[in-house]
Parts: sequence; C-alpha cells; structure tokens
Amino acid sequence: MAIETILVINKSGGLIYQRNFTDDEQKLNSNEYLILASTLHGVFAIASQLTPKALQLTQQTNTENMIPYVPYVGVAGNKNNNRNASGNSSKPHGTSRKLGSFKGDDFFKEPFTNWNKGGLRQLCTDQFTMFIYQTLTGLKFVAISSSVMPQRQPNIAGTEKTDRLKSSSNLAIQIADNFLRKVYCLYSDYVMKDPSYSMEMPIKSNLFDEKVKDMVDNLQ
Amino acid sequence: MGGIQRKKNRSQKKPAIEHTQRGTERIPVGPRSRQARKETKRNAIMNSEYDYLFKLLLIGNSGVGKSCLLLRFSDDTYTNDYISTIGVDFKIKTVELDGKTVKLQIWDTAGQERFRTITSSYYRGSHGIIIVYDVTDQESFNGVKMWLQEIDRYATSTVLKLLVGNKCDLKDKRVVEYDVAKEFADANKMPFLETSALDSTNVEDAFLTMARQIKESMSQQNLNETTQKKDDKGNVNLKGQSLTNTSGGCC
Repeated sequence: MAIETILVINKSGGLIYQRNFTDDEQKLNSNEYLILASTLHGVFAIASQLTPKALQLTQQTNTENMIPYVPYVGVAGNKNNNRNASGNSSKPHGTSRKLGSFKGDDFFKEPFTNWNKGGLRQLCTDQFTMFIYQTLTGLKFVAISSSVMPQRQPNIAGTEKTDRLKSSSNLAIQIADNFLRKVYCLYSDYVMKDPSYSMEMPIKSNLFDEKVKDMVDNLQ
Repeated sequence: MGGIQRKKNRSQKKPAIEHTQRGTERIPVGPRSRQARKETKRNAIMNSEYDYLFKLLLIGNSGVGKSCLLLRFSDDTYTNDYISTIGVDFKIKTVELDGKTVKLQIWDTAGQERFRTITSSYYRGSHGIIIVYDVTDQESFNGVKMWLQEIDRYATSTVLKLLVGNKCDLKDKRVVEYDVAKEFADANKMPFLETSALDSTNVEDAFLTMARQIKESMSQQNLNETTQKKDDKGNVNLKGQSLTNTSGGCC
C-alpha cells in the first residue's frame, strides 16, 4: 500500500494539513486541495445522512464496531519482525526507535473503537483508493493510496489467520485505520502540544511533517 | 433577477490581493540525508503558504445573489445567468492582514429549501456568517429572521454576523429601505452593508471587514488568555524567586 497523499481535515471541513509523498509534480494547487477537502467533508456529511438509522444503532452494540489491531503498521522495523520472528512480537527489535511520548515499540496494541459510524470509510476508483479515519472529536485523517483495491494482499495477512476469512478490502481498511490512527497519535504529540499552534488552523509543524513522512516510508 | 439588462463583466481588474508564494518554508535541522531534506523543503511549501484559514459562510434565500456576490469578490466578474447552487460551492481568496497570509474560504450554500438538511451541517466551526437578502424582494428580507434562528441553532455562539442587502443598483425596484434594514441589523447587533454584485459596490468591503474582524477577535482571545494569566495569582512563578518573602533564616 503506497500512500500518495495524507490530508487532515478539521471538524468544520477545513483542510489543515496536506502532504504529497510521490515525486511527481503537485497535481493540484493549494486552493484546489482546500476545495477537495471541503467537498469530501460535504460528501461525508451526506453519506452519514444516508446511512439507515437502524444500521447505526446496531453498530453501537456490535463488536464489528471495533477495529482490530494490526501489528506494527508504519513503525520502523516491522518488516524484519514479520519475516524473521514469525509472530514472536515480544522479541525486541533492534531498529525500534522512540515514539515520542508513547511507551513501548508501537503506539497502541489493542483494538480500538470506530467512531466513523455513518460516514464514508473507503472510496475505490480505478486510479486510487481513499481511506478516511474519523476521530471522536470529528477530525478526519485521509490517506490516498495508489493501490487499486481487490488486488494484492499485504503480507501481514499471512501471520493473522483469522483475517484470512475476511476480504482483502476489509483488511485494507483495517490497516489504513491502524495507520491513520497512528498519524492521529503523531498529531496529538506534535501538533496539540505545540504552544504556538492555534486550534483548527493549518499545521505548520516540521516535526509532525517529518514523523508522518517516516511513517509513510516505513509502510512501503 | 429583474428584467433590466445587466451588463456583463465590468472587467476593471483591481490590483489583485492574491499573493505569490513566499519563501518562508523552513528547512528542518537534524541528521537527515540531503535528498530527504530537499524533499521536505519542496513538500513543505504547501503547508507554509498560509498562516490562517478562515471559514466564511454565505446564507440567504434562493436567488438573492449569493453566488454572484462571491464571484465578484473572488474573480471580479459578473454573470447574468442564474444557475442554482447545488449543495455548496467554494471560493478561496488569499489576503494579507497584518503581515499574515490569510486564506478566506467562502462556503456559498444553496438557498433552496430542498438543500436545507445538508446546509445545516456546514455551519459548524465557521468564523463568519454573511446573511444576504435582495433589496428588491421583501420576502428575502423577511427570511433573514429565519436565517438568524438557523445560526443560533447550528453555529457557534461567538460567530461574527454580517447583514448584506444585495442588488442595490436596482434603485427603481427597491422595496426594502436602507433605514429599515439598518434598524433591524442594529437590533440584532450586527453590521449592515448594501452591496451590488453588478457594479461591485461594497463587495470587497463586505468580505474584508469580516476578515479583519475575525483576525481581531482571534488576537483578542489570545490577549484575554494572557491577561487572565497575569491576574491569576495561583500560577506557578517562573521568576526563580520565593513567593513569600522569607527574610528569616532557618534558625
């Protein structure tokens, strides 16, 4: 899963962070990205209006609402760990780095709640796939991936036997949610703790920028 | 839109406020490869291009000229065609305020009743709301009250409001008098302007006044926070002195 673009959209539909990871020239200018993000916000709102109320209610009690933890998505050294240790995740890996204020070798290790109950989660086209992760506070993290969906399965599927039963699309959403939640962790660490940052405004933190880039690089 | 032939596009281009990219991007320091650093620099351009992003909302009855007003402000053009806005439309204008680059993102909502359910979700987090009515249409002015209720219901309480009477160039067709509207605006504690998207009267004023007000209220908020801290005596003293003057020693 090669990530092409990461967007962060605030709760009022304004684009506060945008970054491209491909080497080719910017396809859109900053104004066009703003419009894209806000349109997406609108589509998201429409989608949640379309979702039947009954479905939203059953989701609240259902365990389906939890997103399983996928180990070491976007964390340095995860490739070695999967290949050599064959599931022995307790073994400390040498290349592990400090994850800001997060203890341990991964940001989190337990399944987490999906707060995106009615809205859009994945958008598939012939050219790209878009994943959206929404936080409880209404912040949206969007990843645009160059991979087209029902194609190859990421190699993590080999280690997780229970996930084999699920479709590759479902697994991709889970990986994307895990990944984007980690971007959220970075956001809470490097943007929220920045004393010069004003809420709901564009993120101009170089540290955040660097960490997100590292995470995307680790994923590839 | 009235039977009067409205002249198309008086294209006296005003000096555009649209800014060109500033070289403010910072290069991160640290043990990173040169290529990575170069890449960060290139990609960071977009993130450091503007300092603030303000969300402005245009609301008002259908056909009062919200989209035309916006078109005049953003592109300085005018069109006589009536195309109903579907859902929401966006225009972005970059302005310079007190040395800061501010992007005004204006959300032009659909006035038609059938889009109302979606429109309400756009109020959230907006910094300024402009209510537009048509001076030749009494019904649209009566609707302002309803729009104010919508704002109370969906928007944040600190949001800045502005009342705009559009189409003031149609003098012989006017039904809503300036004084009446002004009185109404004063009663609801909001500024009032009469504009014309056709001859571009007050259009820039309307948006820029709003932007300046938002900027002011933001710095006011910061100021309040700092003054509050000064008043608060229970805070941690960072001056390195003892709070109580302990002149007496230990023994």
